[in-house]
Amino acid sequence: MTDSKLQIERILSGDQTAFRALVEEYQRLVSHIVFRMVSTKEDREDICQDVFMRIYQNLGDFRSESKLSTWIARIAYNACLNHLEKRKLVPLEELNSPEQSLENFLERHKRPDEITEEKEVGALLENEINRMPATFRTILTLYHLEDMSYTQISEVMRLPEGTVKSYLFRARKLLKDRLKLKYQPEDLCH
Amino acid sequence: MSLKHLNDEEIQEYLDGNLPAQDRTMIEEHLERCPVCQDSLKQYRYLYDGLTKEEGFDLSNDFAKTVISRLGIETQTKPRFNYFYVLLAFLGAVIGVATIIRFIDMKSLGVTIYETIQPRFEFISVFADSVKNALLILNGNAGLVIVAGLALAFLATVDRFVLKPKYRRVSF
Repeated sequence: MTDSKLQIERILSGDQTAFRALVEEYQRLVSHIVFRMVSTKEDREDICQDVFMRIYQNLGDFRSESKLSTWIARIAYNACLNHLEKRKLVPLEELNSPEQSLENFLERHKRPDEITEEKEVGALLENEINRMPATFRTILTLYHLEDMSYTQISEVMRLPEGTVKSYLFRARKLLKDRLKLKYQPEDLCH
Repeated sequence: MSLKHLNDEEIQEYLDGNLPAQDRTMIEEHLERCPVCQDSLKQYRYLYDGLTKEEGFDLSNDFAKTVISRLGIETQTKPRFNYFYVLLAFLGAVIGVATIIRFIDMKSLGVTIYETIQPRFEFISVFADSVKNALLILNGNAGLVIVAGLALAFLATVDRFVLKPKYRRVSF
């Protein structure tokens, strides 16, 4: 029996310590997804709590066909989508058609002089990421921060692997171009 | 590949480490000779570094505790095995037995206990008679017993894999 299975068995039998360990192990993953999807700071911790409550309540349904981290990330992603839809914080077309939304984003921010002054390139990068549609932000986070594969990301977000890869490449090219507009290569390469 | 500049996809694939060894070598050979693509690679490297930096927000220190509290999971702590209390209990038992032996007429006590509990165990003989009658009725028909056993096993399986997780669920 794998460690994950053993841990789940212990939680299902009512072991609070095992569940606490699971929360501590995966709270970083959940907080990253929530951070990237939900911009309202006051809602983020509540959503993270709701995610772990759903995890606890549905743990009996977890099958080992996917990794536990993928399953947990999927619950977190769905919780964020529900929150955004319920609060109408993100236009529905952005959630349904992120690609179109990215085109609109490019259209809105195409001129270099529209870029606000940033003291640090890191802050500019963060700012640019936050302007992107939630789908692209989440893919960047899962791939670069959580080291998930295209397959895992496609399971989390219910997108075809090809779409995940295409969105990831487009998002990175866009960010690289945005940084290049503001900073010369020698500024970036230190 | 060495005649034209690398495109964005090729550079990203190279940095992701997803290319076959042959393509990787060709890209590295091109990069050695092409300052334009070297610049592009450096920009992507910088971007990749930025993307792997820790972002997010800090959850409260008692986050796990709050979740558990909201779920209402009861604390399960293993009782400590205290040798001192075991010793005390053992001494108490020894003193109690010694007192009984010293001051009480054991023979009359035994008779009293027997007369008190004997009627309460009559059900054992009734139960044994019932089992005996049931076996006589079955008349050696083992098939019925097997079917009953299988039905019980089926119900236990359903309970274990289907119903048990639902019992555990907590509404919120």
